Amino acid sequence: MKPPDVPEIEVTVRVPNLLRDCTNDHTRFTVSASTVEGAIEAMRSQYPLLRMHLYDEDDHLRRHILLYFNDENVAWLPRLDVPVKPGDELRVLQNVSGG
Amino acid sequence: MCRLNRGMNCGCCRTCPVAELASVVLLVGTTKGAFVFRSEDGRRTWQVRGPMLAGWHVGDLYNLDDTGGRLIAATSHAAYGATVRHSDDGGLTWRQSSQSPRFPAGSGRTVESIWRFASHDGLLYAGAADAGLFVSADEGMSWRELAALNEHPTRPYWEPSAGGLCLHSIVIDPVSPQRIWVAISRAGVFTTEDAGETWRTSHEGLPSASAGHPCPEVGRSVKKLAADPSDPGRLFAQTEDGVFRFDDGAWSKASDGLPTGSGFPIAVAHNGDVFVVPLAGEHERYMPGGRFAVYRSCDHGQTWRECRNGLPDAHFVAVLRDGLTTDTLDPVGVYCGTTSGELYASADGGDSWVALPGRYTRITSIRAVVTSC
Repeated sequence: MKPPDVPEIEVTVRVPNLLRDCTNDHTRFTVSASTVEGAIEAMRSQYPLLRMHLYDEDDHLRRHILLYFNDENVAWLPRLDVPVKPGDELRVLQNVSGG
Repeated sequence: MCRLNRGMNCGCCRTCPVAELASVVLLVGTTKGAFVFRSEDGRRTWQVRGPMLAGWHVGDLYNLDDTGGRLIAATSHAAYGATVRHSDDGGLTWRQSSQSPRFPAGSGRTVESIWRFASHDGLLYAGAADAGLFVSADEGMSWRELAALNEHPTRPYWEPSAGGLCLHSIVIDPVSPQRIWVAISRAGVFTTEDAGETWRTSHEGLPSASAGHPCPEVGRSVKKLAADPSDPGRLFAQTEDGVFRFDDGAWSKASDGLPTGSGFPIAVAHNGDVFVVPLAGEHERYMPGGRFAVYRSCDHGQTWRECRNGLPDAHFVAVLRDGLTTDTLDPVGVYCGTTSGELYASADGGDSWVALPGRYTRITSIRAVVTSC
């Protein structure tokens, strides 16, 4: 969603190497958006195969996926209509560990 | 053109009696990728290629021979879910299918992993966890669920086993492909006579559900279902209570001579020989006493013989339900992969075994394809 008075900015998106076959072999690409919410939606629409890996049947973020906007977990942001600025980054991480 | 055979026109065949000249491909799934083994000299030596799909749990690697050898891979990951990938060049390059098996939104279910493929006459089926059956009519590019099974009235009483609630076995009757059997852990065996429009349980002769089960129609622990290629309509099942044979609409026990009733895999060769790998018990997920042994029955499960010439001692490992298979040659080739990542092959029906090159993560599945002879 683009507010009328907010310009779109290039936001860098980084995804794990494992998912690069969903993103034309890129682990880093850009999307144009004016807000965090817009950046996430642009990532989802630009690469629908990636969406399958990040979201379940009910369109909920999978339970072991973390989306970080710069240094903050998107799930903890109070709101997503925050304007983005040059240099902002959206990262896909996995919350999985093991021995 | 056979894509498995690197694009050469090899004249693929299903059953090849000239074992000495045969080319055999093993499609091996592991918890961290897939490998393809190839023997061009009648199963004497093997070359391995991989890892392919590195990092993905490959639950099944399937040769869709209707298309001349498209490989279909069931790729799953604890974080990234389950999808289908395919290769049209023998595994050199892979692409994710545009769709993958998914439950309808709002169902409350998620496909966490894909366990098994089966195909017939242009239809490709996929069994999944959370338990469900899906079908593709376009070589795995798009899928629809078979809701009559996935929403079966007994579903509220299906129970997950240690590996989750999964549909792990799919058997299509080659004579009447409208008839399909599937097995779900832990619910039991379901069958359809109308290509999936209606389903009923098929448990006559299997041990009853545990006492007090709220829906005794299900609650059966079937670990693996396999068809007998030599006699369509005859099935074998490895269950929590031993091996069972299905003839004329009912199951009968076929475990006499096995050291235990526990185990996961069961494979039936084209000549009707049956192979299992018993475990010490439900809690000891390794072979009895660490004695690595495959058991073979040449009389439809009436008697069993231990086959372990060349297999190691002091091997406290298991073979998973899809980690045992046979080829279509004569003598029959038998292949098994362990939870400790070793692969063993027999080119003489199980009489003797050799280790295949390499050591891998846990072997999840093996399929054998005879590409030329």
